[in-house]
Amino acid sequence: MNEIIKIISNEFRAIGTNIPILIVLILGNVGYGFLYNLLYNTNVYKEAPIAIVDMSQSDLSRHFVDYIDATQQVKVVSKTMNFDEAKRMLIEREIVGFLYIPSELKEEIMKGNQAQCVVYGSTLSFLDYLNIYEAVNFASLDINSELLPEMVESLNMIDVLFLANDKAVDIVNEPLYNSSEGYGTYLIPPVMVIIIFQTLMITVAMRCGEEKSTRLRDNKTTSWGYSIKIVLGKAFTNVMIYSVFSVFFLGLLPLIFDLPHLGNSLDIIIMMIPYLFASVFFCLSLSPLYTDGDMPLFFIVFMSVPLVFLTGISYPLELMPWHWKIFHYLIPTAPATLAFVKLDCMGGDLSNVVPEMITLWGQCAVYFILSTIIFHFSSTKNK
Amino acid sequence: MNYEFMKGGFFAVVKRECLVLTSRPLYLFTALVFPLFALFFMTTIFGDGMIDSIPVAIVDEDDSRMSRNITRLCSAVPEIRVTQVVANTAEARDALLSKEIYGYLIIPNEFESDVNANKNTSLTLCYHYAFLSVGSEVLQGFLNVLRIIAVNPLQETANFLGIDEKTVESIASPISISAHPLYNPSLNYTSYLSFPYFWVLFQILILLNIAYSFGIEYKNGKIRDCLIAGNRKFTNVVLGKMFPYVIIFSSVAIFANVLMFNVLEFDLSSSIFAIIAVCVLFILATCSIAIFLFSIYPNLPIIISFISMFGSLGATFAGVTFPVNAMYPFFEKLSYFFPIRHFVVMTDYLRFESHAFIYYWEHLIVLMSFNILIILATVILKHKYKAASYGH
Repeated sequence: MNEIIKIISNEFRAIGTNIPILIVLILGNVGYGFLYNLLYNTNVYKEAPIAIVDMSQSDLSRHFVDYIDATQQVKVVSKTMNFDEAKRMLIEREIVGFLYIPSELKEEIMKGNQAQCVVYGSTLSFLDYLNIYEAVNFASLDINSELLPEMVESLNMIDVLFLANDKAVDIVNEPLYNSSEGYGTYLIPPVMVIIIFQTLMITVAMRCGEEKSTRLRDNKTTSWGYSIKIVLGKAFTNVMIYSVFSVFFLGLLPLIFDLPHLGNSLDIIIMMIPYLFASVFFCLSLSPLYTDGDMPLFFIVFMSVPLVFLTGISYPLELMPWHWKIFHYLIPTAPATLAFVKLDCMGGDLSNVVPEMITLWGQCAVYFILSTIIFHFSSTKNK
Repeated sequence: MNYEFMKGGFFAVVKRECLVLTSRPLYLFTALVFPLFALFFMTTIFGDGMIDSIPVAIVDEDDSRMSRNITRLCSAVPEIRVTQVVANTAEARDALLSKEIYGYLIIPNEFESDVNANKNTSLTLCYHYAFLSVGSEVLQGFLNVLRIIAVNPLQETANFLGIDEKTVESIASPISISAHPLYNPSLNYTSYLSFPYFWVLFQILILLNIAYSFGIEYKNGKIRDCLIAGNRKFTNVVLGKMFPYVIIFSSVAIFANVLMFNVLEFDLSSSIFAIIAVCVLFILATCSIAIFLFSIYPNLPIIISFISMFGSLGATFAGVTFPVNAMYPFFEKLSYFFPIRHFVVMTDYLRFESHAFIYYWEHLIVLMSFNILIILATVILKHKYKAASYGH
């Protein structure tokens, strides 16, 4: 036990006196945490600029356009009768889409026929397309229910007039777990969990790399017991440090930036314990790759975007090919992010994250054994 | 012609850098294998790229003929697939939390009788927005059946009166909407993200490789050797060290473009040579910014941490998923200092518009201007080296 405490105090001293590691720990964590929250702090993508090609120029078409403009998703920045002009604006990125209203809109509707309007939306960003699609569809639902009595009258059949009194069923939209429908409130909680993993990996890797390049590793003994103590000592040190940063990322920042925060703190702590340990053991298992203090960054930073995808938050895990699904179970951040979203954003409890907890504890066990073996043999080799 | 530059300096540095590159397998890994891995990852991660048949539930509190009809209608759209019919919202929430479903529609108790009695009633559509991309597909799927469902009572009465379907449709939705998603008609995620995100990952690697290749020389005190090889000219050192990387990265770029546009047949409205040329310009711009950032503070561990952050921010400032104009104006302006921003705009034009040049030439000029930073970096490095030498 005394030996473990000695290892822990050595680790603290080594980390506390290593400027680059301190920079990553303090500036990296705090900087990344605030910066990403600020980047997406506008949260809801509102008022995507669109144009209307109104060939009808009728009171009805103007009324429809008013409905569209009233939605928060889009802003009508141009009304024209020239299709090519709208196309030009779209190509020159002045607008993200346009609605084509046919010239015979009013006439057709007066005759009791259906008139078709066409939405042209850019998919260069799917959010742009989603905004124009939603705005026009919701506006059309509103105007259609308003037109219902007139349409029934146009049938010219006395016995169906009472149809006009038939009420259309109201549709209530309820976006779950992200009531503001924001992009920030969707992306930032998982990103916070990923940043914890990344900076933790960078810290552990820089320390291992530094040890290796300066051959400072304490290889006074090659016993299995000592290897276990080294691994545990390193793990406890980093878990202690990252407990503080976890409170910052998952407790403080959501409060400051008003992120979804429905979870029970105790449940989150219970989930974070295997996550932090699994992350340190995972990182220590990769230590043969850290040939010096800087090389690990290549791998870790490069993995940032793939990690977001592998969590299954931005693209459903079920639709990924099997070989990438395996990675979801190999890297601690993937199940932990999913578990955190379930607990904190969706208001679930521990019973809802059982598969993720099993995965995380499984990773803890496997990577602990693996890292001990690796440390044991590397110290034997060094000797 | 300066033959010294040709013989001694520049090529000697190139040769030295090639030897360094082949001295450790790790260098080739980071310069060549990692980019190829990124290419493999980004072209395969989305499967067939289509988010469809998303499992949803119907919370059927009414259990009537009308509610079963609604369930049938919901099953008919391609975006969603009704996998569960449950009796209450609590069950649906549990299914949602265990990721069995991504949304549900609540048909309230007494729905059919309320409709028949012409009372106000509503259907509640719930979709998972903690998973925004899937949730929005669920929303679109439900919206497609919404119009039919909303006028269900009307349809029932009309059918009873013997009015034909087409007339009912006209009465119910006099204004119908037809959607044309431009550039990516099937809303395929592979077409959407694979190309730009491969380059986001690649630029991180370019930045790190270049910063590391210079940084390690400073760290190991070998910069003097580089200068000797480069005839004591920093220009030779900077260009000579960058050259092998530019060749490797450009080869990866050619391979990636051929794979994406010729083999995987992603849409491309311009010539493949044009897009390769823009990719090479982007590689040069990214190398330039890497060496410039390094020259400001040539300390390997610290600058490489900063460059990592710069590279990661490229994923945000590329503006592919969240439009940059939706961010705070400061960040929108800041995005123009990232070559990836200009690269994405240019390649969007090249991929989807013919005569693209007339739209993107301004971005081309900005992208090329990044190369000025090489000159600045050379001057700064030279100045710092001299200052350090005098210090000694």
